[in-house]
Amino acid sequence: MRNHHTAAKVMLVGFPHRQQTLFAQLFKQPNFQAFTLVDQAPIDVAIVDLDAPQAEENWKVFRRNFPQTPAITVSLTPKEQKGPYWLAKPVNLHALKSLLASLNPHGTTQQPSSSTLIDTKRSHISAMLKNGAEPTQQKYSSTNELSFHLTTANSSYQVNDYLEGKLKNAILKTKKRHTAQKLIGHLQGAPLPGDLYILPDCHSIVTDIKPRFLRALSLINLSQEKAVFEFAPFNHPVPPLETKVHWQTFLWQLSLWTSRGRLQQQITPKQAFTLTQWPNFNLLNEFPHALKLAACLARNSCMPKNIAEKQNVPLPYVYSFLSAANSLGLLKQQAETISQPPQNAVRELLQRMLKRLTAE
Amino acid sequence: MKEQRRLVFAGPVGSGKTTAIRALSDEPIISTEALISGNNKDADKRHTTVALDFGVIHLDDKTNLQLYGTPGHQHFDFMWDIAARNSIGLLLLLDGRRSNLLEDLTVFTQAFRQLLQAGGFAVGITHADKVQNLELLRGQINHEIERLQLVAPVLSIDPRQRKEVVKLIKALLYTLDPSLIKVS
Repeated sequence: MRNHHTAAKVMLVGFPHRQQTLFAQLFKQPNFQAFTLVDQAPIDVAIVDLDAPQAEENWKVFRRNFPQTPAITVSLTPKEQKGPYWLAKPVNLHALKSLLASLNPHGTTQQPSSSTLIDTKRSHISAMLKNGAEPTQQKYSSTNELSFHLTTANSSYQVNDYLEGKLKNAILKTKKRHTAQKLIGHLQGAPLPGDLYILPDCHSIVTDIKPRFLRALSLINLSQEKAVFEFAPFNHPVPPLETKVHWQTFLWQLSLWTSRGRLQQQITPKQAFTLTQWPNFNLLNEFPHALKLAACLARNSCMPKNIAEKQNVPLPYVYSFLSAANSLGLLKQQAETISQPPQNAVRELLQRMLKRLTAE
Repeated sequence: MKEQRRLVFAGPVGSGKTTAIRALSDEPIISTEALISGNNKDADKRHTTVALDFGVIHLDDKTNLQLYGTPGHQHFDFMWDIAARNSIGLLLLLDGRRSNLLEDLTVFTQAFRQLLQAGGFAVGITHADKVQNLELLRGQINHEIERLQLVAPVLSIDPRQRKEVVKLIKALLYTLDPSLIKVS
């Protein structure tokens, strides 16, 4: 039985509900019995999500309330570091446990070992290669929640500087030439963490690259990092690999990972866009607000900020949606036309239906 | 007495209407299936709906959502009007294997045009795993919907999978009113 008097009290800051649930389950495991999750003072250690939409504000509030309490920050990239203790996402549980143990005032005193800290000066690629030896249990697209970049509000990205752009172009070539293509390249001279092929016949992508690596690969800016991703025609039989998905499924997810709430540079924020067709959400990750955004943009042509205000959807979700829809060729620029919301006599019924169906 | 609201499932024979309603209904469905006879025999399908399929979702203490599945055969089209009365929308299931799928779309959108003017409309492509180029097919369906001056989500669905049918209904709900708020 857990001893609450000596267990280190750990508070989560800024994590979405789903991840809080996962942490709660984790902290019930025997190897985490030296720690207990709390949601109020007193606390011994905090774990802070730097990818949360309100991360800056969360951090300020946390530091104001707990100026002396050690905090482990977690985020996708190291540049958002707020203190000496930082872990890359997806969080290595062994590293987290070691770090918590070292910061536990009730445990044996020890400084965090260098192996549990990831030097913030190291590149994202290095962090990924280090984590590369770790096994993963994560399934492809296991969650539909998104994580966002801290500076989303004014940020955009050049899609061709990322794997997303390379893949998008390669799919277009595959459609045109009807030949399989293989991802080739390197990460600072090291080989890629698996194989990935685009297949023309079944419009699929097959890969044995783990989702956590794919997510990390999707964040590498090729104009800034010593990495190369290219696709080359592959004229041999493609080996059977563990993951096979429709290329729209794959490109949509890759785009969401790359975007992280940023807008592709090809999409001008002051122009209005409409959908040429609904995304096929039984193939694609239906992230929060995605159906609402699709319905609105299928009927209207809107500027990103206007749709965010009109539909009361946080801007990063709008940017992610537009970026992913653009990658799939579903977006069309058009003069802004915002129709009035339907005076729907059955709105209350629709709301109850949605509540009932969402509860499942 | 509970308020009764209605949602209609339509589509050609074998498109998965009965299966979808069975996947959704909170109660065992009432089905009017008969053995297929003559030239309509299909290796995958031995029964067809001749009147209506009926299922129900208990929304809450006050309201039931009735699920009506129409017969796919056009010679039972007199039942289509009956099913469509007071419905909030139409879920049109199209069999991706059929070469005349676009004709099916035209036939059913015309037959249910009154409902489409008053309510919502969503299209589910069933047997999508048998479709050689799903993107192309979706593009063709969307083009046809646009030509008919309609707006509708078009999703591939497996009618045996409740969550996929639910997603199609949710898409229909947001089409009717994008400002709905998701409450979990």
